[in-house]
Amino acid sequence: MPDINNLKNYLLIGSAVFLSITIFACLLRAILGPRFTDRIIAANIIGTKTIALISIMSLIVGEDYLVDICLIYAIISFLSVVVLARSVIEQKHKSGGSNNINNNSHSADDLRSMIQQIWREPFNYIFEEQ
Amino acid sequence: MLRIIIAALLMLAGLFVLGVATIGIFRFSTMLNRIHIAAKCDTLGALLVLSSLIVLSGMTIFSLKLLLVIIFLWLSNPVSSHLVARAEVKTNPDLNKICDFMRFDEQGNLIKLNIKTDDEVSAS
Repeated sequence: MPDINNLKNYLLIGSAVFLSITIFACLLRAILGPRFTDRIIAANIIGTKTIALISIMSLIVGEDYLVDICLIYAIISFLSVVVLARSVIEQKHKSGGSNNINNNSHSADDLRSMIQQIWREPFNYIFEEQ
Repeated sequence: MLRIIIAALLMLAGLFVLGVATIGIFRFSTMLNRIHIAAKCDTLGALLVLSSLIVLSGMTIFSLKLLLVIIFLWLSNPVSSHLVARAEVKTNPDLNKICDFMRFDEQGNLIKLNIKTDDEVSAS
């Protein structure tokens, strides 16, 4: 029968590694997603998985007070999703059903102009429909 | 020893839910389906993983804080997924091809009923 402490450490470290791999997969969806709501929910999922990861790490290190970060992070990720979704709904409501966001944005063909567009107009890049 | 076995079972179930959900995020083709997956995986996966940590560390203040995190996640996830679905429905011009919908005016009266029949679905 192996050592009890070793078993607990293997369990926690293995689950932390697996969680971080799934976080990378969700980041892929945030980059690839054709619509902007894909990116909003990817940010939400990454936030929830980070909460689980911080709790596991606080047990590995042995410091009990690090779980306060999880409490605040849950509130902040919920707030960010609410602010992003409501800003889009209010903007759509004001412009009366038609989408005025795309009037000033230029669709980017190659990588360099895409990076320039992200740097100069980040709001248009996030919310443009493809 | 029994405590570690129970915690390991709960943790493996939670990681299974989270892993299957990340595969499901890539496999579904419609946006509304992906919102459904995100809501399910967040609440159930976080519940199982965090409750295994509660079992593993006994009756301390650490477990109480984790219980507070679980309660807050269960209260806030339905609200955020509903808001994201609402934002998506209002700004998507191609909603005709995905689902059937009805239109209402401000007082709640039915203007237009747009439900596809079986012939139209098989033709598209």
